[in-house]
Amino acid sequence: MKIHRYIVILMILSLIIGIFSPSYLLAQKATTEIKLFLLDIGPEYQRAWKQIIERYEKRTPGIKITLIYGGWDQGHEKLLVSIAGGTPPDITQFNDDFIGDYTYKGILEPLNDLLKDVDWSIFFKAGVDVTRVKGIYRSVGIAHKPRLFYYNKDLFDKAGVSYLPKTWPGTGWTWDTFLEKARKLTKDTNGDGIPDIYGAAIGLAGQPPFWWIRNNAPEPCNIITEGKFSMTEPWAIEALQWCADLSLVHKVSPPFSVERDVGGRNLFVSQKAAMFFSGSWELPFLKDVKFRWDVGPMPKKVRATSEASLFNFGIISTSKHKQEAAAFLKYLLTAVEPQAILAREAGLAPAKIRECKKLEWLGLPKEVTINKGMFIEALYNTVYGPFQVPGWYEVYKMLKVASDEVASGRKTAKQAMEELGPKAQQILDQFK
Amino acid sequence: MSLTYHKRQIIYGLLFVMPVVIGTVIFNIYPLIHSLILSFTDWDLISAPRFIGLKNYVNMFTKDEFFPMISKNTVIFSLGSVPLGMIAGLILALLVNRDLKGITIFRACYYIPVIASSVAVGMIWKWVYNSEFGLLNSVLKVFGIQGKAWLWDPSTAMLSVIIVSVWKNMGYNMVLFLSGLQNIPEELYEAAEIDGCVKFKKFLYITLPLLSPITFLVLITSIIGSFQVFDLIYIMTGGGPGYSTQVYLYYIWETGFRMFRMGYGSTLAMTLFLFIGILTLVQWYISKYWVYYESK
Repeated sequence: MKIHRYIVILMILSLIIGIFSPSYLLAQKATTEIKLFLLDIGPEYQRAWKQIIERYEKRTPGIKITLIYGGWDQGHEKLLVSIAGGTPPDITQFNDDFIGDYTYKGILEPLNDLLKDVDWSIFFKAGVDVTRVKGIYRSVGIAHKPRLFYYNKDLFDKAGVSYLPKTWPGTGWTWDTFLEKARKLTKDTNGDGIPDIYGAAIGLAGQPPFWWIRNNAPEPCNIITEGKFSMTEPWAIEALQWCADLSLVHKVSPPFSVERDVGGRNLFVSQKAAMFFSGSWELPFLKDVKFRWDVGPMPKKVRATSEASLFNFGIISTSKHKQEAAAFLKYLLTAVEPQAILAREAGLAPAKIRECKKLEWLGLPKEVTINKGMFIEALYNTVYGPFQVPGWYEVYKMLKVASDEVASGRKTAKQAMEELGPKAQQILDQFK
Repeated sequence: MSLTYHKRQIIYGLLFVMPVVIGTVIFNIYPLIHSLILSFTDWDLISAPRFIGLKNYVNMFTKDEFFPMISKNTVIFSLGSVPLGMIAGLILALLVNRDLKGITIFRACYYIPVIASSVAVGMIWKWVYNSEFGLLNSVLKVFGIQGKAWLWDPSTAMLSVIIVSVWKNMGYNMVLFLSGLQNIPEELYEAAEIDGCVKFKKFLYITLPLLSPITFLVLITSIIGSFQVFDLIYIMTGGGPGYSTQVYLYYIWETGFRMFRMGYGSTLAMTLFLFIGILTLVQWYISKYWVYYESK
C-alpha cells in the first residue's frame, strides 16, 4: 500500500513539473489560437477551410486557427451564448441580417483601423456598402452568392417563347413581358384546371420579394430608409401584391403551399417551372439535369436590381487577439489563395472583382454552356437589404409572416402592410 | 471513532442519493432561481443584466401583443393533444392487454415513436403532409379527394401538429395505462361476469375507476408536456403559417435568443412555470373527487 502511495505522489509531481516546465510554458506562449466560428458547415466548406487554414498556419508560424461549427439553424444562439458565457470566438461568420443588431449591441469590433491598408475599390460595391454602418466597417463579405433567373430552354422552345436577354437588364425585359412569357409557358397538360407547368417560381414562399419591391420604388431606396419603414408606401404595396397575384390571379406561379412544400428548385429540376429565381447555390443541383437551361436578369420596372447572399465575417469586440484576427481576416479578404479555394470547393463568388470574373467558382462542367457572365452582372446590379439597421431582424421576421399572408391570399398587401407598418416603425424607433 | 449502524445507514443513503441531488440542484434548481432573477432584468446576453423590477411582468400583460395569441395557441394545442393522447393511449393499452403470442412485438411497435427523435418524427411527418408528394394527399387522391396544404393552411396547421404529437406520445400513455390495467384484480371481472355484467359496463364500473390513479398521472404529465411543446413546431411549421402554430415555448426561445431579450424570455418562462404549477395544484385538489386509491 505504501509503495502505491509513493507511485501516485511521484506521478502527480511529474505532471506538475511537466506542466510548469519552461519548455511547455514556452510552447504555450508561442502559439496564439484564433477561434473562427462558422455558420456554413457542410462538407464542402470543411474541405475549403482545412486547406485555407493549412496554408495560413504555414505562412504565419505561431498562429493556430481553430474552427467552431455553429450551423445556420442554431449558430446565432450559440454565438450569443458563447459571448454571454465569456468564451466568444475571435472571428465569426454571421447572418448579414444581424449587421445592424450586432453593431448596436457592441458585438462587432470596428475594422477601419484594423484593416486600414485594404483597397476597398477592388471589391463589389454592394458587398462593401452593406457592411459599413455609419462609415465604419463592422464586417467583411469575403464572398457572395448572386441571385438571378434560371430558365428551361427546352420548355421555352416548346412554348415558342424567346429566351431571356443576354445582358442586364436587357432590352424590352420588363415586368409586363415577364408576365407575358410566364403566361405562355404555363401549361395545363391534363385539363384538370391546375397547371402542370408553371411559368415562373419566384421564391415568394418564406421570403418577402425585396428585390421586386425595391425595383418598383420611384427613387432608389430600401425597405427601411433613414429609419422609415417603406413597406407602407404605395409602390411597395403595389409590388408585393403584383408578386402575389402571379399565383393568386394569373396562375403563372405555383401556389404558396406548393412552393413552400416543394421548393422552386425542385419544381425547376422536375420541369414543373420554366423559370425560377434563386442564387448561385443552386448550381450543384443543376449540373446533371437532362434539359438545356440558361440564366437571365431580373425584369425591369423602374430598375432591375437583384440581391445576393453575403459570406460575412466580423471580429468579436471582446476578442483578446484582435490584431491576429484582423490579419487572418485580411488574408481571407485580399489574398488570391483563400478566395480561389472557397470558389473551387464551395462555389462561392469571390468578393474581389478580378477573381470573381474568372468564373471558375461556378464549377460547371465544360458541356454546360450558359451565359456565365450574367452572374457578374447580377453582382454589379445587387442591392442588399437594410441589414445595417438595428431592429431589422425583428422587423424582417414580422415582414416574412405578413408576406406569407399576402402570398397565400389570406390578406391583401394593403391590409397586411397597414397592420404591420406601425408595429415595424415602433421597433425601429426604439433604436433612434 | 466508529459509527453506529444507524448512522452508517444514513451516510450510505445520502451518498447514494447525492448524485441525483447534486444533478437536480445544478440542472434544475439553480437554473430556476437564476431564471427567476433574470426575469426582473433587462438582459440582451451581451451587456450585463440591468435590474428593472416588475416591468417585464407588467409589459407581458399590457404591451405584448403576441402574448394573448400565443397563450391561446398553446391552450388549443393542449386541449387537442391531451384528450386525444389519453384516449389513444387507453385504447392501445386495452388492445395490447392480452395474453397473445407476439403481443410484446405490438407493444414495442407502438412505443417506438416515443423513443424516436422528435426531429426525425417532425421531418418525416412534414413529408407525409407535403401538399404535392405527401403520403396523405396521395392516399386521398386515390379516393378522389383533393388534399390540402396541411401545414400551410392556418385552419389545419395546428391540428396537423397535434396529430403528430398524439402519434408520437400515445405509446408512452399506453405503457402507463397497461401497467394500471394489469394491476386490476381479475376476480373483480369474474365477479361482474357472474352477475351478468356486459363488457362495456365492466369497463365503466371496474376498469375506469380502478385505472383513475394512472389516468390522473397521465393527465398531469400530458398537460405539462403539452405546454412545453417546441421541437415539433420548430421542425414542422416554424410557428407558421402566420402565427397559427406559434406556441409559448417557441416564443420564449425566439424572444430570448433571436430578439436579444433574455430578461423578458425569463419572465415568460417563469410565468409558464407558475401557471403549470397552479394548474397541477388545482388538479391535485380536484382529484379527490374522481381518483380512487385502493388503499383508501
